[in-house]
Amino acid sequence: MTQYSTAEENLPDDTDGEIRLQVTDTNTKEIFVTRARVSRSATDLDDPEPLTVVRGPHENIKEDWYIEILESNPELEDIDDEVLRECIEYSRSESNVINARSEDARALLQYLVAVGEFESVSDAVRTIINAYMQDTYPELLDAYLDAKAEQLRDEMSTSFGENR
Amino acid sequence: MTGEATAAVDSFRDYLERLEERDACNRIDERISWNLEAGAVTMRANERDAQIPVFEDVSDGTDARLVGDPYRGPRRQPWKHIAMALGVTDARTTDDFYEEIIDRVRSPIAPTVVDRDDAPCKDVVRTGGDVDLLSFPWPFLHVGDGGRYSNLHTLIADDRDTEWTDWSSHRAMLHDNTRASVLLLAGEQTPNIYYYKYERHDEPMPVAIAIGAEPAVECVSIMWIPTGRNEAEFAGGLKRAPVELVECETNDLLVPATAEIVLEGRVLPNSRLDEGPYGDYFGYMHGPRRSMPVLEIDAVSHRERPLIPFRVEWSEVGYAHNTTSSMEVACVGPDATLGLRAAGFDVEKLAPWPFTPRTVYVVSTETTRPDYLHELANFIFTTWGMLHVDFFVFVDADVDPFDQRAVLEAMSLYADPDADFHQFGAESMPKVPLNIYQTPEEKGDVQMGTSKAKTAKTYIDATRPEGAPLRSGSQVGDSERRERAREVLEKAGLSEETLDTAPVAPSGERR
Repeated sequence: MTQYSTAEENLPDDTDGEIRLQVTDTNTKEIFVTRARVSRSATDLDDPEPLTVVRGPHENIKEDWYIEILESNPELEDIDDEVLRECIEYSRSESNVINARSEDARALLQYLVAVGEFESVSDAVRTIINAYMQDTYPELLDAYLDAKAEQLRDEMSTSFGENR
Repeated sequence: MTGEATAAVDSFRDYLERLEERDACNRIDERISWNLEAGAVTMRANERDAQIPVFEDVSDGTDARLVGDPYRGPRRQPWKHIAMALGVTDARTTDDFYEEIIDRVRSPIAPTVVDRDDAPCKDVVRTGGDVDLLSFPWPFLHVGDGGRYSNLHTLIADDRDTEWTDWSSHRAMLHDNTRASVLLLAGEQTPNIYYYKYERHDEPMPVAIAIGAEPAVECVSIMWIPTGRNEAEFAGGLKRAPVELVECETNDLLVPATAEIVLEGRVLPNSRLDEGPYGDYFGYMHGPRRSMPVLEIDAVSHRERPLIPFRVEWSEVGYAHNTTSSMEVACVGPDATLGLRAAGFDVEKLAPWPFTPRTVYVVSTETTRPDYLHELANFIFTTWGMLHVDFFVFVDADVDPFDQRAVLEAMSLYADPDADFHQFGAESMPKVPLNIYQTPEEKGDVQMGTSKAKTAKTYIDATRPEGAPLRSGSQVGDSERRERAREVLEKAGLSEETLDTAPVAPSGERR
């Protein structure tokens, strides 16, 4: 049975359901990202394997958890470049407006604007989404930046070609 | 060191052979795992001043080998094995060694570039999908470490905007078969190239890591060679012969041809991975983990049955020596002494104080005027000493800065707590986020790898006040008496190795 370890700071606040989690295989010390379920109790999981969660500033406090790995390195296959390019094209040519109806979200964002945390609700939405994307979907963000850079290069290349 | 070879060695394995000839190397055939065991054996060897351990069988079906703290010298002469490696045969004292190294650094020798067929590091070459980092037995050193490390190597990187190539030493934590995180602390040369040049242009920084390079290369990597100068030439100067370099497989960098392993890759822009915790050089498990730049490996080349040297930093507290402390004395000490002299200061010697790597340095100097010492401290704290060095002790030129008893005596006799303890740059100096006195919050709040929490620097003026009488007998210190006794005992037939490895009591005196 393989044993894994992770740091408490890698665990999301809500550990119910499927989560993305960086773990270390304690035999090989390989570090990788998983799609997994975790629990303090082995009986909560279908196929539990031991997971040591280290915490504290020097990570010298240990807790026994269990993990059920559903997929290793999921981000490597998950980003569909073609779909991503289509989304970029759509947001450029069709609409770059995000429309989300929510009284709660509006009230919270409005509060942040009212106390001067952000200049506008739009500014707040952009900033918060960006921060969330960096934390939760860093690979998607990387892929997006790469795709945008490639697109820009193509446009510049075309532009120079036309001017020749 | 009479009867030794006089030329510097050309490779790491030649260095081990030279150690073996002197019975200073222990080849261990018994299987020792890379997982804590090799580190533990090395720590024990360091504590006991035992032979340098070479782990011939580290399990996992690999024929690669590990070498624990290969540059650790005898505790009374920590520079001795490096002297042997560089062919410095006539140094009997630390002063002799310092002056010889300073002479050599002053006389650089240009490197030569050899064909790849003549480069031992190209015995085996793997690129692209064949790269398999975890097939090598990188050591897992301390129970709480965040991962396996390569921590004794030379990181080679080109400046983005000039022809300059920097050689430096930055540990790497292996994550998987192609990726590692590299400890890059802004304020040092290669990290500055990465953060302020490549990353600002959103470009990857091509790098190579030479593992088990020849000793002269290893020494130069930890010296502070001024920006823009050719580090390979200084390595040539150190060994009094050209260093042989060879082109990389996947980028334009030149690497030492006799290195045991060469990793080629790119440090990616705006991409980070966990680094640490790590049993660090102050002897404590350091958290929290940090986000450090990602090294993506494109190729691995190596010699047959490669040797991977490593250091166990944790063993450096207490009274043990390791590679770091020995190289501080053997390389940083003479280099920094030369640097201060080149800047116009008439220092006698700069000594990294034993057991306080990079935190406390002692400088002996002829000129002791207060304004001069302030200027000297200012120069050090704003150049190479900025990140790591916390404080300096200045002593008179006739005090041996390596003699802790003499330095403490000078402090107690001459350093007035009211007038001679100078806090310098309070709250305005950056700090490497590794020191134990920083809170986890301070260490965790980093910008470009360097702690945002600032710190003061201090220097202590322990020089004699003008007109103070010279204490009777103070010019014949314990070290000189010991040296004289050593010569007498050697003439009487006691072997030099026995004298070097006699145990040392906690007080620092021989038992």
